[in-house]
Order: sequence, then C-alpha cells, then structure tokens
Amino acid sequence: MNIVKYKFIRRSLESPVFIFIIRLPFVIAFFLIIFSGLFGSVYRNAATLTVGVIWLVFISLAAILAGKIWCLVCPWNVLTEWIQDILRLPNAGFNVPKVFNNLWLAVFFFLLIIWLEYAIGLANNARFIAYLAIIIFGVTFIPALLFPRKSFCRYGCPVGAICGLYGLFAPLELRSADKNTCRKCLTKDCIKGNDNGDACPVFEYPGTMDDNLYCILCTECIKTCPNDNIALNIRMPAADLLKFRLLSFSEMFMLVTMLALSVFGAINISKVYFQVMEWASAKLLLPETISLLLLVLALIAVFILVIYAIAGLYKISASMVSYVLLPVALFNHLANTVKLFSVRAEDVIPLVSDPFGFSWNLFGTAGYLPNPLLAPNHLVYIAGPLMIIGLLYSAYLLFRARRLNGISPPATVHCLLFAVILVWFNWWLMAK
Amino acid sequence: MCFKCGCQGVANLDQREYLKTISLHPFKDEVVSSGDYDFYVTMADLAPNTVDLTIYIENSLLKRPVRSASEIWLSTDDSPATQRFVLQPDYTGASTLRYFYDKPVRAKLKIATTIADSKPISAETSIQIGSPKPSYLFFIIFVASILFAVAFVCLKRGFRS
Repeated sequence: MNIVKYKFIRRSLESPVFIFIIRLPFVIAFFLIIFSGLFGSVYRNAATLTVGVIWLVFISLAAILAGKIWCLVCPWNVLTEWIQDILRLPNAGFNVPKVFNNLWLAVFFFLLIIWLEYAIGLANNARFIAYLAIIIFGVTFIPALLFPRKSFCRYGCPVGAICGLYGLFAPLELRSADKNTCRKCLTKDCIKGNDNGDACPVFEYPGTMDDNLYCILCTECIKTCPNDNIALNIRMPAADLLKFRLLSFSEMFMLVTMLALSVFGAINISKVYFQVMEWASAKLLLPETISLLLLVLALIAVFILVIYAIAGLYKISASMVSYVLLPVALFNHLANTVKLFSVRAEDVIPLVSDPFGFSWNLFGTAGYLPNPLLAPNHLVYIAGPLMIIGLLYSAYLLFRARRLNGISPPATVHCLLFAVILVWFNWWLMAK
Repeated sequence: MCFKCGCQGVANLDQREYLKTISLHPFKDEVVSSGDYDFYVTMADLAPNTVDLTIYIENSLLKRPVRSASEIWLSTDDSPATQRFVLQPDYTGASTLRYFYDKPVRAKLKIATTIADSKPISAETSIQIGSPKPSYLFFIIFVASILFAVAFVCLKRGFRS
C-alpha cells in the first residue's frame, strides 16, 4: 500500500517544516547528551543511559519497523546539513576513492566503537560519550565538505549500515511506483536533483533500487520526481530478504561482524569471558584490551571460515550462506539489545530527577531504585524467543532458497545446523 | 566549598537528605559480584574534590540481609601506595567513605567484610574518583580540524553565491 498517495502524507513529507519539526527533538537531545556528558557527573548521568541503552534499542526497533528512518533524524547528518546550508559552505567535489566504495570503512568504525566500548567502558562514561559524539560530528562534517552528497552516510557510517541490514525486515519501503515510468523518464531528477529537492544523497536510483539496504528515507526523491512516481509502501515484513540479493564481500563481512559481536556480547557477560581473559593474560601475556579484540576477530574469522567451507563444499555462493544467517545475526543482536534494556531501563526513573548528576531531585525520584524489569536469570525468557524467531526465519529462508535457488538438501542441513549451533551457543552463554 | 550553595561546609541540608536517600536506596554505579554476594558501589560528587563512596553488600540469591562493608583498600592510578579504610555502617546497613582527592583519578577498590561464621568475602573493582573536567586540548584540536577543512574547501572552490 502506497501511503504517499494520501495527500496529507505527501504534503507532510514534501514540507521542509515537517521534516524540520521531526528532526529538531533529536538535535536538542544530541546537545543535551553532549552537555550532560561534558559537564555532568561521570557517575550518574543520563548520557550513559540514553546512548548506551535507549538509543540502541530505539534504532534497532526503528530499523526493524521502518528501515533506515534513523538516518532521516540522525543529529550528525542533520547538523552537517544545516551548517552547510546556513553557512553556504561549498563542497570540494572530490570523488570518493574507489577503495572506499563499499562498507569496509563502516565495518572498521563499527569494530573500533565496539572495541572502545569493551576496552574503556565507552558507554558507561559520560565524558567519553560526549567526546565520541563530537568526534563523530567531525567525521561526518569533514567528508561532507570534501566529497559530494552524503558520502559518509553511504560508505562510512556503521549505524547506517546496521540499520540497512535491519531494514531488510522492515514493513516499509521507498520504491519507484512504476519502473517503466522511471525507464522512460528523461530528466532523472531523482539522481540529479532539481529546484524542488536535492539529488539522492546516497547515490541510489529509485528506478532500480529494490531493497532497503542504502535508502535513508530522506524523501528528496519524492520531492524531485516530476512524475510523482515515488511510492512509500507498507508491505509484508522481511520482503527484501526473499529476493536473495547477492551481497558484496564488505556487506557480508558487516553481517558476519554483527553475528560475531552478538556472540561476543553474550560471552562478555558470562563467566566464560573471565576464564578466557585470565588464560590470555597468563599464557599469552596479553592485556585484556588486546585479548578482547583478538577474541572478536577470531570469532569473525571462524564464522567466515565456516561460511566459506559450507559454500565451497556445496558449490554455492558464500553470499547466499551468509544471507540465510542474516535473521539469526539480527535477532541475536536484538536479543542482546533488549537484554541490556531490561537490565538497565529502571535507571530512567532516578535519572529523570537528576539527569546531569548535579544532585538535583526534580521529581522526587532521584534516590528511587526499582527492581530491574527482569531478573538476570529470567533474561533468557525475553531474549530466547527473539533468537528463536531469528532461527525460524533463517530456516524459512533456507527452505525458500532450496526451492528457488536449488540449494541441495545437505547444504541446507549444514546451513541450518550452523544457525542452530549459533543460537544454542548464545542461549547457553546467556543462561550461564 | 560546596558547589551547590557556596558554603564552606561539606554539604548543605538538602544534599544530606539526598545522600541519605541514596544510601537508603543506593544506585548501582558499580555492581561487583563475588560468589553469592553482590557489592554495590555508589559514588556521589559531594563538593569539589570530595566524593562519597557508599557501599553495601547483599546476597544475590536472598536479596537480604544487607551486609556492611567493613574495610576497603584503595589504590589510585597516580600513586602506588594502597590506602586502607575501616568503615562503620549507618542504620541502613550501608557504609560510606568520604574521600578527598587532589585531582580526578581512576582507582582500584577492594571491598571486604566478614559474614556469618567469620567467613571473609571480598570483591575488587575499578572506579573513577571525581568527575574530570572537559579537555580543552580536545576542543582546540576539534575546532582546528573543522576550520582547516572549511578553509581548504573554501580556498579550493570559493563560497557559493
């Protein structure tokens, strides 16, 4: 169902005021987090909870429901856009080097942030969060000056890349309403831009775009299309997955990294982690900061090897094998996120009264410590079903792949076995 | 000097009330598990260069009774010496150490107490004492990088008309 055909929705999406209004709260929250991180107490601070818990849950759920909708309101992107427009800053017009025309940069930033999180407790330190938010602004702003459009959003942003993968499940898609109209269109304003709006900032062409991986739902193409041929469709969830898109190696690596990190996240909160770290410290004389990075890289390497082993054994593409593991990766990741939320969400109540740690007690709840939403030994009851959903969807994809792409029964069994082992291992770690 | 009201005392009455509240229901800035026991460490900036560490211990299975920390050892990153403190619990069962520091620093904290049958239990964690001020150098480098990029692009392309 194309919701843009409703005039109210169309006018809203085309209206700069409407877009400004939905972006503004996120920009205000961004500044509050930076202020709170820089000047608030490091012990008790809303910045750590907002970024380390609420934001993670919000973007995961938002992406599952509406694809890369986060990118529309992303404060780094919005501020860059506003500053460029207000100061009328030009763009150097360099082409993005070919070596970066993939997701490797996003994978690198993703691993870097995750490493910082585990090595220095990034998300638990309000100062670090503020510094990181400012650094990321620089990392977004400077490429916007050097390269055309939103090159960083397309190639370098790890959050966007993860949301893109989640977005494959989303029941919302932006597509051309009629591909023939796009083919016949001579002006291609969605690519070039016109007086009504900018060219697609992430270099997509709606005429050929058939998944949510890169579209940031900025709605510029809705404004620029002279034929009103852009549709915002409500569709069946996970419709993109059934297309079995051939993933590039960097996209596959991003997916495997998510899978490895979901397993690492479960290892990290179990006793196994301390045993591994003690062993690495005693036998290899490695500090924890290095050991944990090696552990993450080892998990990624093992998963890549298993994927290529299955692919090589049964002469199918590694992309296909990793593709059918995508639901497991995403739902394991979501399970970890929800688990984190259920453990720390109750901190919202005291922090509402004292968001900066200035010893305020605005609503009389500063000293309130309710019980966690879920006791640690009950977490598996909420995270478990999510992991099972992922596993079931992977099994369904395998079934479809067998029918449509002719994957042999033994290959199907091996892929499914790998998915089951991953889910079981995550579950086992969680229960420990 | 108290950062809140400017008085020379450690804290004003409101802040005492506040601290009493958090010692009754401590936040869990740090929770360290050791065996069957969870060690809750709560920190509060009391005044410049003064921090209160409120500690209580509870059986993670039974949730009660609350045990009191009787001793803590503190070694800061900038000093090799370990300081030992003997704590007295308040009526809630929580123990509070008022610690004065020269500059914000990370420290290793070892908490110990004895439970029934004189059985000792302890736990170690790393804490941040005092909230560090934002780094001016960071902002100088950040602003310089942005200005450099803007200047470079403007020189290359000129301002849009």
